[in-house]
Amino acid sequence: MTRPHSPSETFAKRLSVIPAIIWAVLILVPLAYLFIIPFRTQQEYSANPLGIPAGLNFENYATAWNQGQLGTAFANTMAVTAVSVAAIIALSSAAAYALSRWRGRAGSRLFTVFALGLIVPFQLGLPTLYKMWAGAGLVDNLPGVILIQIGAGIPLAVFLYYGFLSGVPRELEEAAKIDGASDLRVFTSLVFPLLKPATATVAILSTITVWNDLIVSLYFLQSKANQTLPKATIGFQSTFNNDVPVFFACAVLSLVPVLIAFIALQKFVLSGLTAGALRS
Amino acid sequence: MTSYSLPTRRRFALGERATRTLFIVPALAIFTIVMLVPVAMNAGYAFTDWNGFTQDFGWVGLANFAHIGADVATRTAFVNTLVFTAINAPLQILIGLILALSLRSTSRFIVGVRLIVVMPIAVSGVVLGFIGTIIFDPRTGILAALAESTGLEFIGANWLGDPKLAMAAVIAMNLWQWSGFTMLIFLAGLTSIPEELYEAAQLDGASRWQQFSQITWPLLSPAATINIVLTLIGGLKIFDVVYVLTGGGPGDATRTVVMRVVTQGATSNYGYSASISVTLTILTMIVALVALAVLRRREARNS
Amino acid sequence: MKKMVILTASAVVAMSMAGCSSTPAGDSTGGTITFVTYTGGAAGEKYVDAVAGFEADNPGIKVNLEVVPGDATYDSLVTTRIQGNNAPDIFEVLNPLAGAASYIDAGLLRDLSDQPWVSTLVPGVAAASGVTGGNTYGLVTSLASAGVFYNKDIFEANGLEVPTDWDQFLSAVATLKATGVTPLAVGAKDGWPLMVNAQAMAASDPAFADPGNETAAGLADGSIKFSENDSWKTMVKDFSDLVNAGGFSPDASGVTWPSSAEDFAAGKSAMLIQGDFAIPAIRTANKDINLGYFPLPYVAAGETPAVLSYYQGVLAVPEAAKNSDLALKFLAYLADPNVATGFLTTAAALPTVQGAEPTLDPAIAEILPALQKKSGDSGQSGLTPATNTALQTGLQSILAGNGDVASVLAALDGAQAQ
Repeated sequence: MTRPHSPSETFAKRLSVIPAIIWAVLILVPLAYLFIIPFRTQQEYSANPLGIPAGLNFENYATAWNQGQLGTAFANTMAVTAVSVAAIIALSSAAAYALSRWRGRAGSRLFTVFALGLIVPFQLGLPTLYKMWAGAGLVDNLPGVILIQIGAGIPLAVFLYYGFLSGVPRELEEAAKIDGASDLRVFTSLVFPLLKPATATVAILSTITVWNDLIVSLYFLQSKANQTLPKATIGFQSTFNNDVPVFFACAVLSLVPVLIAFIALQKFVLSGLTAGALRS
Repeated sequence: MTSYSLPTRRRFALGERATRTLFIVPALAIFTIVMLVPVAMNAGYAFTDWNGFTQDFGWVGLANFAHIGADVATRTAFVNTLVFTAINAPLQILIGLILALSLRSTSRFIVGVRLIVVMPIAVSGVVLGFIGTIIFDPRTGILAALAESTGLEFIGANWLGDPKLAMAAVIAMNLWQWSGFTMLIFLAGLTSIPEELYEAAQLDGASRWQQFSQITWPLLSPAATINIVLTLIGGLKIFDVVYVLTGGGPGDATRTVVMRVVTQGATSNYGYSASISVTLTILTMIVALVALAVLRRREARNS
Repeated sequence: MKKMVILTASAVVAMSMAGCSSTPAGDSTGGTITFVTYTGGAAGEKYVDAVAGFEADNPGIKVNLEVVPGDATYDSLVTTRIQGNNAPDIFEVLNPLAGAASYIDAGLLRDLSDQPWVSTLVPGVAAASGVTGGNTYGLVTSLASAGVFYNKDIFEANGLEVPTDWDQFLSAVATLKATGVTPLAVGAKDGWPLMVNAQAMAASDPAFADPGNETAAGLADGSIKFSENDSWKTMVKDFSDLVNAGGFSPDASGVTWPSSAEDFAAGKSAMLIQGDFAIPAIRTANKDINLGYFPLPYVAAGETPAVLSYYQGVLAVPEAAKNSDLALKFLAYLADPNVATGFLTTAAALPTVQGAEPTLDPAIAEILPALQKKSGDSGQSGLTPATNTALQTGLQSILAGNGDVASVLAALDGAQAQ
């Protein structure tokens, strides 16, 4: 910020932050209660739902962790997310690269096919997808779910990478090719590193989607050993259960890791979106 | 390098085709198998009377589509979805824009506030439902408690149970989660506006409003385009927030199209529910394409 | 027939018959039974206990108990799995009477009539649990009663007696309303608790409650319209009148089921129309509550009101189940009187097999005489899954003030026509 400020302008600038601060408070208060409520017993909660906890009582967290077998659920969710996101990044960046460097209209037409995936409701295909997966023995196993997550995550990732790539100059690539580098090598060692902001954006958005997914794990996973976090949470919140602090504890446990990942990566997201979403 | 001896043109051509196959096919294949094929096959049920249970079914042509117009509940769902989209989209864009403008600088404090504003994006549907309870529940919610302590009764209205207010609560919850994302895209647009433009405008004595209307807003066109298209698509497909907050109730007051599809599919009307999905998908595509065409023209004018 | 079921079921408890058989001996065949249910949390403990016992008796057999949401997505999940050739070995039927018919008509469920436990069921349960043709398509693991829970202290403070007909009930509502007490709690936001209110009314009307009656059949096949049926017109109108008389708290349409139980337990409302499965939630919220329980008197003076009864935990075995032998073995285990005594005590529910004697809550004991006198079943009222959903939505809209009797009946006709 190099431009000169008059005192009144600085004051006006300060004032302009107020709406954002109000909005931030509106966001923080309910989130704070989500974190506070599990520290209270169900009796305390019934008597005064919004009361302040007497101390740090981790009993509800322990109940959620043990009853919900969240240890397994954590490991599974982590594995599914890590593999899916890595694959989404690798496959989508490569595809978007080839599409964006395809001379003529074919590249952009094919890109439209990928973009179609952003509009089509994924749920509509579930029964058929289930039949296909069951036939291939991919039901109730994590690789089966990972494949679905990759397929469902590709459209958005291709969309973001494609937009980002249109702003990456081609001269370097051409030069490298003249120097004899293969296409694969140009992509992996020259182009992909330049895509870092887009990769961060894709990584964080796919992590959120895959980590939070309920519908795929609900339909495609069935045994306790293959349970994921959202499915474990929903198991707590069944029809006749009214132990609010315990399932809030479960919710917090499933939210914290993705929130941490989000906070760690969010500063890259801005630059990824700047170049990515705006150019598609 | 030895490769210099090879004819470069031929090598490029070969390399390109191989690259395309190697680079595009894996992503395209998985995406096609997981999304395109099942969705297309399932869309076929829209032309049948399949009930979702039996092995056999008959072709009924367009009968399911014809029934959509006659079915009050489905019509209500389409109206609700359009109402949601028409109110939510402008609000989300307005809030996102205000947030982006006021959080434009990069001081540590501002970046901290930004982080808070975008945090809800990470919240899952299940957890969003819990947060809805924390805010709106007439017994345990913050608004009810606030109404009691301040005496302002309207705050403690029966948000989720009053048909006139439930949609407002659903929209508020959706804004709570997604305005930060809209802000991010606007911020991305703002960072690409050269600072010199403002400096020049200030030298010319332009007011803050003039700077906004003549520099910021026109140059934000690409960001606005993407935000408008995303909020329109998201609005028409809205499901999660309704499902966890009101379940479509009270009565049919917040039942959206996707919500209706889910309930219909489970009541032995699989073919009919598929026809509603297909209609919605086509509607979404038309809206997205028209919006994109109109907005791109506007962008071209602005640039 | 239904009357007899309840009569015998409750007599079994009341007279404390001696259990006679022992737990079936296990053998060595192994495998994993997949079991899908929507009953989780505290209410699902009964299955967790039973599974643990079964696995201990049968080393080598595992039961994979999978809890999924019991909402609009439930049947879609189960049918998707069946059609995908990966049917669960056992699943709990959602809406036993209205919901099972689609599966049975499509031939998806195994006929269990030849199972050894059928003859040990409380007379009537076996036939009644198979909606068509008198066959048995599921093991009914428990019976639930539903009626009016009331706070005896509030009734006493307002000089109220237990009402025995609809006029008395309405006047009790008016009295409570006049003294500033909310007469009835209901968790209408969750939808299904409202259905319990309607079903408790329907239980006393022969047009709804008699199994196999012509009205129900006509409503199910579409030859009778809801808007032209007197019983339906009257019932929806009476419900609407109860709402308009201020029977429910003004914000009831936004209240969840747990909150309604807590409201009632805390004395914020005098009554709660619910099933006996609400008792644990009520007692957890207030262990000192002076709890009473009576049948909803939806009858004219001098007539006997019926206690609504439900089949609960109806477990079916798909034709396509891969481990059907093991599944049948598990069902036989559950039908054993000693085993049933165990998990029914956990669930505090009435038994369906002769010889089971679970320990029941005192409140249930209070309604037992009425239950033995007359019981009614909501599920015979001719509802299909589509009309069931339409009724739930309609009642919610009446309560929320954006629907009336005519619009609800029209919506029911519309759902029937599909």
